[in-house]
Amino acid sequence: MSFNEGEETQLVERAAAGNNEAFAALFEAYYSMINGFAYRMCFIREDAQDVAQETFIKAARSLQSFNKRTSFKQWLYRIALNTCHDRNRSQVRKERIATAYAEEGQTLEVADYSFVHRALESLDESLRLTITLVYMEGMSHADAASVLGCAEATMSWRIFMARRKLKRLIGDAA
Amino acid sequence: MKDDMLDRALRGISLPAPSEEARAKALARALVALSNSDAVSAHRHGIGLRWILATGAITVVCAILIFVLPKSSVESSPTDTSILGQVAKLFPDRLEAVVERQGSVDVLLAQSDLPLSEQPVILVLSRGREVVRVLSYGGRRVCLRLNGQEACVEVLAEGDGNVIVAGKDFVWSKGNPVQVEGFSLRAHILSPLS
Repeated sequence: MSFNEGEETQLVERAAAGNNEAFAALFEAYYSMINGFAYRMCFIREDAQDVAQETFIKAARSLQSFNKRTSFKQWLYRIALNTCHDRNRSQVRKERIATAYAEEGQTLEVADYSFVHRALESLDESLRLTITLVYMEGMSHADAASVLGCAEATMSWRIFMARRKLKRLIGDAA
Repeated sequence: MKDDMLDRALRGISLPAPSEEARAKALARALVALSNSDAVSAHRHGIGLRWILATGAITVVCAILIFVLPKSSVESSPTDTSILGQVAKLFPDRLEAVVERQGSVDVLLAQSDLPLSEQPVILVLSRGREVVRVLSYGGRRVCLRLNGQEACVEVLAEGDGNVIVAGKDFVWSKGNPVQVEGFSLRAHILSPLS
């Protein structure tokens, strides 16, 4: 499901007024996208589902504070990003990821590109986020900069750094 | 490694699809959060902030009375019908119930297709301050954990608008109220959305 900007604005306004149908339409349009983003950030399917759920609960609670001058999609990304940050701070989670890698493919849904996963996981979070938003979510540098709250030039620099590191890491592993 | 190989590697990461159940639970929980948000409540009732503050004290007193006084009717709203309807759109043939308990929301799905039913109903089970709200449809079988025990009930919606709830060894109706695992039960049909 996709909307043009005007339709989306109307849906957001109706949802903010408590219209369940409008909120469900927004949910349908963006749930898979946010779940995919969360998976790329969390690497564990169940965690990604929890983050996606939490993202929409937070969005539902704070729709009234949504600034209509920004993109609803980017706003959702920011909520998901903050939710991921909160989770990733947990030491327990870091141990879960380590265990998941050790079990190789049982907890993680790792297919042919497990070495890419590993390389991404080893990047600093800011670089990993940049790669995730630009290459996997298909965002422009400007949109990704807006989600991350940094300058577009910073994004370009991060992309350069991330690609250089990934080339080395993946090149070694492949 | 060349640039195009890196691009292919990054874009080639497969994403596991979220489970249908996780999707349904996420929607149900978000819709309940939406209906419970203060801002939405105020918007629905056209209430301004100053009015909310001015009537805050009265609200507190009313809230206390709600806990103290016995309840004579089942608490429900058009939002309940709407939430049930939106979740049912995801699983038109498998949704057994949306269960709200102490602020958490669960979605019960059947393993196989259920008979078609269009009459939404609400069951409210309460014991002290513990309240379990069950949104379902007439004709559905719903299993809940109550007081550490699993209690399964059949919900029947009658043509005259009354609801009958049948368990393993009891039948509840408006004229024959019985307790279920120590919980008092109230039930009635929900109005379809206009």
